[in-house]
Amino acid sequence: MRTPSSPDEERQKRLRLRAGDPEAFAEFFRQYQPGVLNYVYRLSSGNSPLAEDVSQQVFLNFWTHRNEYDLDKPVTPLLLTMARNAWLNAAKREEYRKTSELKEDGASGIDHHLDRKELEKAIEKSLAALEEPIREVFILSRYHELKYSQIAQMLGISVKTVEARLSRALQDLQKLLKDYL
Amino acid sequence: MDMDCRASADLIARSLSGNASSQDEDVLRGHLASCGACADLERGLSAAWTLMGRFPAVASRAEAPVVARPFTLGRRVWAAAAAAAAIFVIAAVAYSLRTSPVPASPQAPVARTEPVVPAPEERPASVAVQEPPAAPEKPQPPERVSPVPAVPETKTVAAPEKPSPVPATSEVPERKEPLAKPVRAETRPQEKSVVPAPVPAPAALPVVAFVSRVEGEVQSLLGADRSPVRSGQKLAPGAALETAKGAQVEVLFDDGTRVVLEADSLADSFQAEGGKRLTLKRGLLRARIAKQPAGEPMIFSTSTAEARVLGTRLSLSVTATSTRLEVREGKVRLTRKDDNASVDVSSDHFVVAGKGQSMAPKPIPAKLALYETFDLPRWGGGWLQGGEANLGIRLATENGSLSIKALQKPTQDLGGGKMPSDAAELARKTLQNVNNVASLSRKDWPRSAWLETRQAFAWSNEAPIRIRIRDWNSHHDPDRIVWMALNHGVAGQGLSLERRGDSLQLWVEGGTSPVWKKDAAAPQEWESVELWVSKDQVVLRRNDETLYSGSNPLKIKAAVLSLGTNAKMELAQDEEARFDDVDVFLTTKAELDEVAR
Repeated sequence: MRTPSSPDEERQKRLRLRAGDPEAFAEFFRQYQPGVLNYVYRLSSGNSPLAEDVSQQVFLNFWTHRNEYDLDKPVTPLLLTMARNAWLNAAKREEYRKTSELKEDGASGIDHHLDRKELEKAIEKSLAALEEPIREVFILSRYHELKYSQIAQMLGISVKTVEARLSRALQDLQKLLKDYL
Repeated sequence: MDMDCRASADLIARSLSGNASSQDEDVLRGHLASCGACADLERGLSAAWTLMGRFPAVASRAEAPVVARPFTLGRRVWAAAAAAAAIFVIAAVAYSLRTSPVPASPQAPVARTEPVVPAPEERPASVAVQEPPAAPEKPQPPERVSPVPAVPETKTVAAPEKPSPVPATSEVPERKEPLAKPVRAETRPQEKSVVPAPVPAPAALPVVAFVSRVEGEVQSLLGADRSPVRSGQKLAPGAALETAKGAQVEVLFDDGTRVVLEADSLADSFQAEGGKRLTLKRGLLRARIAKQPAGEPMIFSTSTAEARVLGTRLSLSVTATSTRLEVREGKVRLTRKDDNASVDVSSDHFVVAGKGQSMAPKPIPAKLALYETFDLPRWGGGWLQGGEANLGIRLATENGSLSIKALQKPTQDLGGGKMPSDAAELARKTLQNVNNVASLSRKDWPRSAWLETRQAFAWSNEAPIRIRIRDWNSHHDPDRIVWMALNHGVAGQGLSLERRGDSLQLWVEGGTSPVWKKDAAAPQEWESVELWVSKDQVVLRRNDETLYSGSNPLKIKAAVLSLGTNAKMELAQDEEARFDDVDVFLTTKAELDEVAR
């Protein structure tokens, strides 16, 4: 039976990463890349090339600056902040601005049912339909389980604003998804 | 306790997102109990929250950016070489010298001029000590390095992302050798393949595959060298893996081919050049093989037979005198070594190659109503680890529909040997929406939970069925119950077969004691458990041996099959419950009578 890695092991891994162990980096990449990738993917309303580019960039940056981070702080908010900045930059300079069409098929699937596909589409569309500041907060809370305070810090807004946006997001989503609830 | 309805939405959001204090929760629950409008709002928002959890996650095609050349393999190769021929040793040492910053050899060849991240030097002194004094100075042709540090579990070959090279920075840590230059250029990911290295470069052995999952005690044997295997470790050509009892290891090749070596098994001679191959010395393996290039089948050898595969799912088990091959998909050629008799085994057929035995493939018993493989991850996966993918389980179904459920059982502990009393209610609910996948955030995760899949199939009393689960739990844990059931939770009308710690038990749902019970050591190898049910009879078999045969206490005409696991303890994040293959067969009365004897 495998046991989840203890904080100690986590720290060991970080130390190895810091020491420049490529294996540790690869492991780190495997552990966190899906999160970063999906964050950008959702943030950009389904632009997967952009999400791939940005997440790649984030990890290279992280590697370059791996000595500058606090070993004991959770790394997710940091990576997401980096991803967000990279995304904003990319979006500024690129034609990425135009929202890409949502992908045709769920990436995970070979044999999704039709109604399931339709539902996923609806979910994707509703998320994309949220106003950007609201969507951003929702993504961080729903998919990355960040606390209000962490989100506030990341985005440079107040906790109150975070809560207001999340609550707005839910109410909007409820309307957008009313056919499916 | 008073609260304004206008605050409800915010408070609900706070609660759903895990930001509510217990006081917040109290206030909210109190208010919801007395305010219908807000209770409706709560239901709506909570449903939206749950549904959004099904936002499909994208899987990356990207690999970890290449950051520095890995040293591990070099060392392991060195170790192997030391045990082998002397000339090999010299070559390997030459390699290791050239790849480490050796102050004495100033002109280390630079293979390429692309910017690379310098390899932060961490070569341990012990390795340097082993290098013989006669450091060869002779130049060597540039050679290929083994691939990138590791491969993410996703597909790796097609269209790799080009990692943008990071300019060398001055802040590489712990460089004890200021003179040391990065001497190795990285291979690009495009080159990461099983293509053989150019001769003469024994040190440039390609990585055959890497270990993607380790459970329990798994050892790597390389020459005389024995070392524990860890996840992420690369396998060099000729590598051997041995699993202890209860252990398991999964090996991932770079085309996505997966081989799982089960408990108490030994596989060696892993190769990738000119076609993947390995030898199963003992035990059992299962494999899911990606489509192989024409003319380069993957070859599984045993002492008695050889199977050549171009892309399939199969399982292979070996005893001292015979080899059994079961093919799920595709076609596999099996050759008996004794007499070179060979036979093509196509999907859903099996064959046993043993001395003097018929090599005719037999159908894996016919009329398969349902076959499922529970792919990785099982327990856990994304949704326990941060909500990335709400599907902790992925199912691939071959026919008909199947849904997978992650259900929460919030109130009742499963102690006392009783089936949960609210299961019927849950079964009703979940059946209303066949595709509903509940998603649980971390805070919702209950102390005891079950995970189930159900398949409703029309079942006439006249057509007996046989349900087979293979390798259904890797754990040996008294607090864990793994079950398969028909009409789960319908009191008096359901039947369940459970493994509780060391015993197998047959229950009628709602009963207070099992119909039948027998001690059965925890499954440590390939285990299959079967439940045969007809109008009058119930037969329970384990590993092709009939354990119980009795009358069917139920009067049911149609059934819902579910599988699940309950655990009374706090579930760890990457706990797994396994139901690797589930088959439901339509069978015949005659067959049932046969096994009932």
